[in-house]
Formats: sequence, C-alpha cells, structure tokens
Amino acid sequence: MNPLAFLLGPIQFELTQRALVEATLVSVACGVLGVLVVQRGLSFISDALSHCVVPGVVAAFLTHANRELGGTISALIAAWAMLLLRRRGALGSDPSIAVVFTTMFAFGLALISATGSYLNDLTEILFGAILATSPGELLASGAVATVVLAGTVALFWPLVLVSFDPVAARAQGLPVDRIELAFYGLLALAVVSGLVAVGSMLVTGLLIVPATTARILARRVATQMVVSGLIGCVASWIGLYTSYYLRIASGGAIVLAAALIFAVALLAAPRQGIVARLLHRPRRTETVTA
Amino acid sequence: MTTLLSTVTDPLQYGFMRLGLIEVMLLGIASGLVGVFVVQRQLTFFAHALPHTIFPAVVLAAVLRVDLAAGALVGAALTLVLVFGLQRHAAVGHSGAVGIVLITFLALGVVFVGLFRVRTADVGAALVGNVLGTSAGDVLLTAALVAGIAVTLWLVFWPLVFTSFDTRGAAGLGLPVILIEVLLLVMVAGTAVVGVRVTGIILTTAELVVPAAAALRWTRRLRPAMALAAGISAASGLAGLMVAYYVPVAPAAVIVLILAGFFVASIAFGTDGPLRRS
Repeated sequence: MNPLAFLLGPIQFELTQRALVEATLVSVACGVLGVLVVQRGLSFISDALSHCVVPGVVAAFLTHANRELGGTISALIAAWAMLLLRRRGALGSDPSIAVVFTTMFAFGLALISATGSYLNDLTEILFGAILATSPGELLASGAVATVVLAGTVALFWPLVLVSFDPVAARAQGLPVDRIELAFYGLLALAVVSGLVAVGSMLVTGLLIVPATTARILARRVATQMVVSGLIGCVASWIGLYTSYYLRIASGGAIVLAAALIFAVALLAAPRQGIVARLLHRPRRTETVTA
Repeated sequence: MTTLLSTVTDPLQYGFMRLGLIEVMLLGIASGLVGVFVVQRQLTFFAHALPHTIFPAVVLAAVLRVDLAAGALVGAALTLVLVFGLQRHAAVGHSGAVGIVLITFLALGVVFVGLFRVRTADVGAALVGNVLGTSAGDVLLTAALVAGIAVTLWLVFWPLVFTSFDTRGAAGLGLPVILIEVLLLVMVAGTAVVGVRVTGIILTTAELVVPAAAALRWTRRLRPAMALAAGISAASGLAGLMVAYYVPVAPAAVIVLILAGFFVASIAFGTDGPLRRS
C-alpha cells in the first residue's frame, strides 16, 4: 500500500472523520488539564473518578438516554464526594477514595449485570468503541471536551495559583474553595469526554501520560500544557490509525502510543532525559515555574 | 424455619458454589492479613495498580490456555521494577510512576484482547471476576497462598511492623529493610492475583483496602485489626456469594457493596483507630 493511500484510508468515511476530530479534541483537552493533575499528584483520584462514571453511564445505557449526560452526573457527584473527603483529610485520603470508587463501580456493575448477558456492553463502556459510536454520542463527547479545554484556558491563572500555592492564593483573596470545585468539575468532565474515544478505564492514560511527558520536556506550565496537548493529539492519531488497520479497540492503541512517546522522551529528552543526564551531570535541580 | 435453613443449604448442593464459597473465604483471610499493611503503609494506589498490571498476563494466559498465576507474578515483578525506576525521576514522582505503569499495562492488555481476538467471556472474567468458575486446583493454590502469608507474617511480623513505622530506625538496627518490603509487596501481589480471579481487576482494590480500612476504625493495634479485617472480608465474600445465588447480579458487585456497608458502619460506630482524628 502506498503511503498516501495509507494516510487517506481512514479519512474517506464520515464516521472515521468524526472519530478523528473527536479523539483529537479529547486528547488535547485531557492533555492540557492533565498537566495540573500530574503537578498535584492526583493520578489516583483521576483514575478513581474514571471508574465513578460507570453507574451513570450504565443507567443511561439501560434507559437509552445520553451516556455523556449520565456519566457527567455520576462523575460530578463522585468528584464532589472526593473533594469533600480530601478536604476533611480525616480518612487518610487514599483508602476513602478507594471506598468511593469501588462502591460506585460495584453499583454500576450490579445494575448492568442484572440485565442478563451484559459483558459486551460492559467492555464497550470500559474500553470505548469510537468507531461503533453514533454521531450524536460523538458530538456530545466532543462538546464536553471543548468545555474542558475552554474552562482550563479561561481559568488558567487561578487554577495554576491554587495548584502551586493555595496559601498565597487565599492570601490574595482568590476564592480557593470555588476554584478547587471548578478544577474537580473540569476533571470529572474530562473523564466523561474520553468515554467513547478510550473508554472509562483508559481515560486516565490521556490525563497523565502526555502531561508527565511534557513535564520532562518543558519547564513552564503554559509550555507544558501546549506540549502535552500536542503529544495527546499525536498519540490519538497514531492510535486511531493503528486501531483502524489492526481492527482493535482504539483506547488501548491510543494510550499505548502515548506511553511509547513517554518512553522516548524519558530516554532522549534534551535536558531531563536519561541519556542527557548520563552525558552531563546536572548542575542544579530543575524547578518548575508557572 | 426449614425454609430459612434451606435458603442457606440449597446453594451448597452445587459443587461450584461450595468451591466458590471456600475461595471467597480464603481470599477474605488473605486480604485481611495483607490489607492492614497496605492501608498502614499507604500502598493503596500501588495495590490498585497491581491487578491492572497483571491484566495483559491474564489475557495471554487465556489465549494460551494456561494458568494465570505464573504470568501474573511476572507482571507484578515488572510493575515493581518499573515503578521503582520511574519514581526516581523528578518530573514523574511516585504517584505519576504508579499511574503510568498501571495505565500502560492495562492498554497493553486491551491491545492483546484485540490482536488475539480474545473471547468476551474471558475478558469479562478478568474484568469482573469469575468466582463461580473456581476449580479445585484454584482453591488449593489459594489455600497455599493463605498458608504462605500466615507463616510469613508470623515469622516477620515485628520486623515488618518496625520497618513500617520507622524505616530508618529498622535499617539502622541492621534489619534487611528492602527484603522485608519486597516480601510485603510479594504478599500483596499474590493476594491481588487471587482477587482478580474472584472479583476482577477493578474491584480487587476493594478487597485489598476496604476491610482493613474498616477494621482500623475499631482498633489501632495491627494484629486484632488483621483478624477483624479478615473476618469482615470473609463474611462479605460468603454473604455476597449467597445473595448472588438468589439475585441475578455479578457476585463481585454484591461482595463489594457489602464491604462498603461494613466500612460505612465502621465510620459511624468505630471506636478507635488512626482514622478518628477530628
């Protein structure tokens, strides 16, 4: 097959065009917001939130409602619960996060398993099926991704300040609690936006892998966000082409592509890469600045 | 009276129920013993990652029709090495390293599922467990695991406690700190493998964390907490499987919902424990 035919192959169908646009939007949105997630060490919370989407999606699935709507409702409830638990700090945080997400997932599983033969539907919810998704669902998840991207850009400085130095932010009179709520809300929406592209189990990959890669490659937060969005975009295109030609679920291919980019950056990054570090001893520790 | 009794005895006439009940009870004991250390050492995210990282091994085992235990142990060992290597990088950190390894292995498993056209039933068994498919061999293996964990904990309990609360002090006394830590992680990994078979990769986190977190609301002392956690976990498993016999829902979901009930009750009525601070 010649290269041009290879590249044009997936683009000739309307469905795959839509899938490419949607996957690009989602990966860029998750990549940009992900920089703050990784910066704050919230990998576990983002993964837990992605499991909390499931009961809402299952309920929507059973009532033929919009999956993004159901997922958004249950993710926002879970995000609020986790923010509350984290703020109280009384439960040592991590175990209580585990309790919340396993309970919500178990509830979703109980609901869907009561319908009889459910494994096909469940694997679709967990791993996504972008090429088997209706245009309406694609549109909905694309819209959610756009909201996440716009929200992160619009709230850039408050979000960054609260992430890096909440004490200073409060001293400057910023409404820290409300900004935190907005951040967790954006995180919940980001998880929902990835439902059809990568599925609820793998969306954490879009949130943390490109962002961590960007932290290796760049120092300023704004630059990291741009780099992370770009990496997410490239990974989603590689992943979608792979899934189109090998006929495998797109989610696994997209996240694996992002992981490969991460591995290359870890080895070969100009300043922070392993090879560069072996060649030049670091003179001072790198600090991240906004 | 007879109906109440037969409610309990009816399911027992089936071999798959008897094996399943023994398996969930054994898993309960293992998870209670190990879970207290998982919560105490703040290994929750790591324990959550382990079932995901053995997913590709489980998928390959289903393709090759071999037992998943060996493959799962390779997956767990790789996880350990990768997390320890990655977290030393300043831009990655511990939580980032665990997250990246977790999600990469999971994605690898998903790609395997597509490439090898793995049957949905096998994928489903990995995702949400298949406790009613437990074989006599599985039960024997789990029993060996529980015995191994019990003997190991009996032998190294105090060094493990010392290392947990004061790693530097333990190292200063000449205790083989790294060996002790690896021993603990191997026990967690072994329990995770059994957990995946019973409750699937997503809900195994609940088995490893929730009973221990509930037990630690009643006592700070580790050995009573271990016994209580094992009791809570085994009771939830037995009750969950019994309910799932009569109500057509996935057993893993019922087990975890009962565990959550124990947790909520322990938060409401728990009398002691490091979690009661406010």
